[in-house]
Amino acid sequence: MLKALPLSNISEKLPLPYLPKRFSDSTKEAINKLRDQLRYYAVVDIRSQKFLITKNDIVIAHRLRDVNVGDELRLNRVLELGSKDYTIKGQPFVSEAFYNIKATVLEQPKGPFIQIFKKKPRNRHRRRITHKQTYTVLRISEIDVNKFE
Amino acid sequence: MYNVIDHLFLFCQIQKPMSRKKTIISLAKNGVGAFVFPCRKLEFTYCERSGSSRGMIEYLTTRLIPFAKKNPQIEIVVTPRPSKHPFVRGLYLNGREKGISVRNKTSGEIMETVNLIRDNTGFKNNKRFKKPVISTTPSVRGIWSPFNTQPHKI
Repeated sequence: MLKALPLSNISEKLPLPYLPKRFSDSTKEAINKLRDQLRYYAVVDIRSQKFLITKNDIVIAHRLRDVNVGDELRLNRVLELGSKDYTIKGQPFVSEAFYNIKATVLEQPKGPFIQIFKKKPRNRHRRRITHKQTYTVLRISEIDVNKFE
Repeated sequence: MYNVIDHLFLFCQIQKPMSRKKTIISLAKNGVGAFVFPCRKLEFTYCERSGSSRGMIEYLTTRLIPFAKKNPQIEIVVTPRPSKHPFVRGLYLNGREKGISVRNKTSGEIMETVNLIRDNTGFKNNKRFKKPVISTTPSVRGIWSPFNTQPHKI
């Protein structure tokens, strides 16, 4: 599920769902090891579409109806979060407390004009179907692994 | 005054390198640090008298001002154009423009058209949607090599 922050409210922090505040030492150690690396990738689920993303990527998803151009989204369905040497695999999702992934909506375009002609000769059956697929283009503005002390 | 550049032009043969756009600074990634709204201007034209502008005039009198207040980042210009069909034109940051004729459309349909133009960036939409993720970051885990794997053991 996506949660959109309108531009005027960007300074307010989105309240996190209830999460256990204490993680074991081994968990914290593992996450800090991941955090110490240079670059991260994440396999993210946006309305049941899966993308492998890094920072500054452009993601072309199906049209998201409840979102406006310029909104900042916080992605909270992450299946895998990793770096060069370490990976966290979610079961099925990685805990939200480990990461902070944000995306900005760049535009909501339509695809090229597609015409589908259906014809059955000698049966007076002729159909012309026109279609323009709708998309939402997102820019991944940040992928951060949170620090645990 | 002795000028080094004049000297070079007079006595040496300078060949201009093939002009090719290369940037030394990194290209701005809209949305990462800051977001600049891609649609910068909307132009509305209508005719006072003709019937095809009826929906347009209704839109301009009822819905345009709330739209303009919600989108203070867009410059909105309304000009009468007598004896011509009504038109909505959007100008974008990349220099391109997108114009749609709204002749004989109702006020609601014109609102949808205006939202379509506002939500666009001006890029041609022919071949842009073939890949789901467009990335310039180098591979995070590195490209696979047979020298970095452990041989399969039975």
